[in-house]
Amino acid sequence: MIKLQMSNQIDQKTNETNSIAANGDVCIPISASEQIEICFARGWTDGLPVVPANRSLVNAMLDACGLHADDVVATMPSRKVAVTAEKVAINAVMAGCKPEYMPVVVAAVKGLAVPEFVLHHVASGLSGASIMVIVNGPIAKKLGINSSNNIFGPGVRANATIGRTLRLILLHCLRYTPGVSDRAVMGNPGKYTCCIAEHEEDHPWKPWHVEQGFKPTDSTVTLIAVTSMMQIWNDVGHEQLMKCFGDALSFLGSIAIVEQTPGTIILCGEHAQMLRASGWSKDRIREQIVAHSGRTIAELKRAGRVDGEITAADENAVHFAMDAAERLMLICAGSRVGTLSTVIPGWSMENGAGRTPPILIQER
Amino acid sequence: MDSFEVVSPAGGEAIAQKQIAPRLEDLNGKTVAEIWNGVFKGDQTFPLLRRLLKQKYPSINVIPYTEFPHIYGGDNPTAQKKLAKQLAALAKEKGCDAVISGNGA
Repeated sequence: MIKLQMSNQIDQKTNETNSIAANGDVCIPISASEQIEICFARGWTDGLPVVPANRSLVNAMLDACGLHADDVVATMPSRKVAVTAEKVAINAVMAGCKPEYMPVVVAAVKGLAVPEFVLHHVASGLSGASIMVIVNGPIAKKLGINSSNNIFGPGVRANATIGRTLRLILLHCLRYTPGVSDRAVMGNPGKYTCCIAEHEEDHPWKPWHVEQGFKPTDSTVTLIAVTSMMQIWNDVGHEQLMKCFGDALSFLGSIAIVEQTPGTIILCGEHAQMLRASGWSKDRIREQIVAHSGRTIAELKRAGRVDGEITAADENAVHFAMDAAERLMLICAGSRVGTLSTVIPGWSMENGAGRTPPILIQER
Repeated sequence: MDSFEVVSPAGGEAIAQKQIAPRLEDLNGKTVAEIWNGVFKGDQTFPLLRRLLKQKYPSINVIPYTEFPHIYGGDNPTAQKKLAKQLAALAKEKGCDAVISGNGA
């Protein structure tokens, strides 16, 4: 027999479909696979099977982060909802998290509510961005969050389940329902899960969170909205690499190029080593990359990205993919072997949105 | 028999919401503004809406979107609030009883 104990929190989906008794209990015969099917039937899924969450598993999640069930983790005015620690914990269980991942998940949920991230545009917009969780600091190693080979691929529980929890919260708590309130034209596979750690050992410069003012001993989460991801192959030299990065940031069909929304580059180990050997500072590298991201106004007009007749002056007037080189985010991650980095151009035409500052992870 | 308890992942604590303004009973004799943020082909849908509204409410006065600034405010709550205040003030100045501000995918 199964006892289905519904949460006493507001639950629009279950109110619509649920015939459970007023005390919240119902007893029906059920197997493990049927429990999973019940979750599917209620829409508690991202399309993959979930771990049915029971009270003891949820309590273990809450204990791991020192929060009470009704503590509000984040308030989302655009959805008129406050996400409680209980809901975060339930979704973490369902995604397959270990309790010790909870501090990272909680920090990531706080990131969703950062006003400059503009969650509603990220989560509902046509560009269909995924939300990449970037973890910095000692907690990444402690939890085994992958920062190396196959960084965006499958196989590591911490990466897979932390990223998945965020998506389940978007689906279940914030009601970004595909085709209804999530209006993505294409979406992308990162919407199932997308979580990485920066490779901080042997880093050519300061890791991202330290560059942003945190201590190396702090652990943080940074969220970025991601639409396109391009792999860049170059094993020749750092100057040539700058050109390839600049070209990828400024492809003509980029949704970001006109408004100059800032991008991100995930530097693989060999490219990081190549840049270290160049002796160039991080600032100089940023400037060089952006300097190579120019398109003439004539090119943009020929591609229909800028309106108007092409003038002689347009052939020489240059528009850069970003308006400020210091906004280019450089992260080191991926395999130590191989010269393949990833360029993530700006995610939308909303310059300044889709990126949080690093958010401190509070461990017990 | 074993028992299994499942808790719901859905929903959250509702936060305070403001009530919407009372709806107009009839658009005849009323002035209605078109507010456009410059995307989703409003230049095609607004003229269509205008024509249909005039068919249904012959004495409606529609102020076209071209008489209001096209400002893309994104979804930044702070920017949106600022823009909404500016547009509401302008609509008031033009004597509007209502505005059409939704045009999306």
